[in-house]
Amino acid sequence: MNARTRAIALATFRESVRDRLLLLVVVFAIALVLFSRVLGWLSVEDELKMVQDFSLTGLSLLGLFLAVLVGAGSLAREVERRTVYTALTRTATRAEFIVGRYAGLVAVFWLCQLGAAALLAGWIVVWGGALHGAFFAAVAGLLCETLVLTAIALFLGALAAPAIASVGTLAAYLVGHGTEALRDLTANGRNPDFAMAFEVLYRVLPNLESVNFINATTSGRPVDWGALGMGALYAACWAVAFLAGAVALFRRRQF
Amino acid sequence: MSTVVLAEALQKSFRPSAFGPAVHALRGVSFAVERGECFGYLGPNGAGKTTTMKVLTGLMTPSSGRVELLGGRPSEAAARRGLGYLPENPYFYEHLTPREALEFYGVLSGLDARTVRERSAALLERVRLTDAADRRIRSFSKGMRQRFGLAAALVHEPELLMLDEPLSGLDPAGRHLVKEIILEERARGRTVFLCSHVLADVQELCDRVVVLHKGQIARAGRIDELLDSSPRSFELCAAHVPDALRETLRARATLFRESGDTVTAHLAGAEAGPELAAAVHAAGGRVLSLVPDRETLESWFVRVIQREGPAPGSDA
Repeated sequence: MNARTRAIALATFRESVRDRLLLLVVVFAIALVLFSRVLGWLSVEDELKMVQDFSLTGLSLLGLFLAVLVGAGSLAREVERRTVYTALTRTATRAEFIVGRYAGLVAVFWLCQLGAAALLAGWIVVWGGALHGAFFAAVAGLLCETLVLTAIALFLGALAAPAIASVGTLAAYLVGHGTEALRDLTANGRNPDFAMAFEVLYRVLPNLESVNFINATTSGRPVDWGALGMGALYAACWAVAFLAGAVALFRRRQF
Repeated sequence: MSTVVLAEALQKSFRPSAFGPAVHALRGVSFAVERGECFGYLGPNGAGKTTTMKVLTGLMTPSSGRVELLGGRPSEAAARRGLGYLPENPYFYEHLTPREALEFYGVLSGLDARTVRERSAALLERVRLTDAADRRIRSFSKGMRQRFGLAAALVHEPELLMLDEPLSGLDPAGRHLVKEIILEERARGRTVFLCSHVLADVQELCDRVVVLHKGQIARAGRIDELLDSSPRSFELCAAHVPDALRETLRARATLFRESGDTVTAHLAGAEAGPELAAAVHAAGGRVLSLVPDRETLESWFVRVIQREGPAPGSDA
């Protein structure tokens, strides 16, 4: 990453961190983690398992909300506020602008998720639980998911209006978590047309389940670090593909 | 002299809606800006000035025609290295402080962060923002934003300053300051491309102007050649004027005022003023002032725009 890209990332980071919207989302995430204890008390199963399961899903939703509320409208805000005029008339290229913006947003989102994860870890320890490798694997998987979601949000933001980009990011999240299950459900050969359609969807859209280690954490299965590594690589490839798309669209943009 | 900005037969058309008619914002605009000059780019609202600036800065590509910016194409980052651009009503990252924002713009212009930090203090002092250096830009007034915008345009010491309405939203002191900075930059050999509706300031700052009307160039040239330099009228102010001469002044003036022993007469034509001033002097009166009224850029501009009327084939 060159100095210009770093400067754009840093400005994006500072700008986002100081935005009140982000504060609201983070407060929501903290409330979710704290609320998980209530659900734990109501649970018939292991209380702490419930706390961990619910909170990690909350962290995934935090990544989604950040991508939808902050990431999807990010480029549109730049154009609307005309901040893009003063940035792109310098030596920075449009590709550097997109990559810098992406890096800044991911840094902010990761900071929020890691902060919430640290809070959750503390919360688990306070209530007498122990932290295992599976917990950290789940958090790492969520960070990978955010990597992809932010790239999707930026790509859709470069392609369409913020509202459409937000809905598209939300749809990508839902589809991304659903295609693997749908493919497996229809793989029994009873309905080959559906099976083919879900197979195609599974292949052409990012499968966010490949970085979802929440179930493994709560079910107590040992961590498959190799799967996590492959999942991270898979997420990075999708992120790069969406970023390349965003750059291609942004290069053609007339301001 | 070398050419810093070149526009040749520039055309730019938009289609605001998918099925609507095309809007031709620029229709074959050609001009050249030479190194070291202050060039005024004028036109009424909707004439195509901002579109031209966007094309020149690489924010837009022309539909046809050729553009050169500092010897390269505006879409090339290297060509923009020497460009300092201040857009109309500039917005910046609201949550950054001027210091942080200057560092951001400096680095984007190819400077290293340390150099920008070294320049920031002097630059903020120059635009009278030292006291606000650590406040967020969000809290700035329009005038402060405008002055900060100028600092951001100057941070990398560009050889070409492209300023879109730099005097808009400024109080008199702010306008004076910005004009002073523009004149200083000119004195340092920088080229200034100025787009403004405040024509008195353009007349004061620029050597040459182009008037754009309905996407076409209506007039172009040096200001001193475009304007009629002969006086259109005089304002004569005199004291101790004998009664008979006072009556002559009253009769010949288009506007006449008396205040005690002092009279002020507005005299039409190029000869009446000097002739009657000489008569006052010869009759023992005291000529306090004789001010010629020459054509201003503003009155010339209004005349040009009224004469041009709507351009042929205009969409408007």
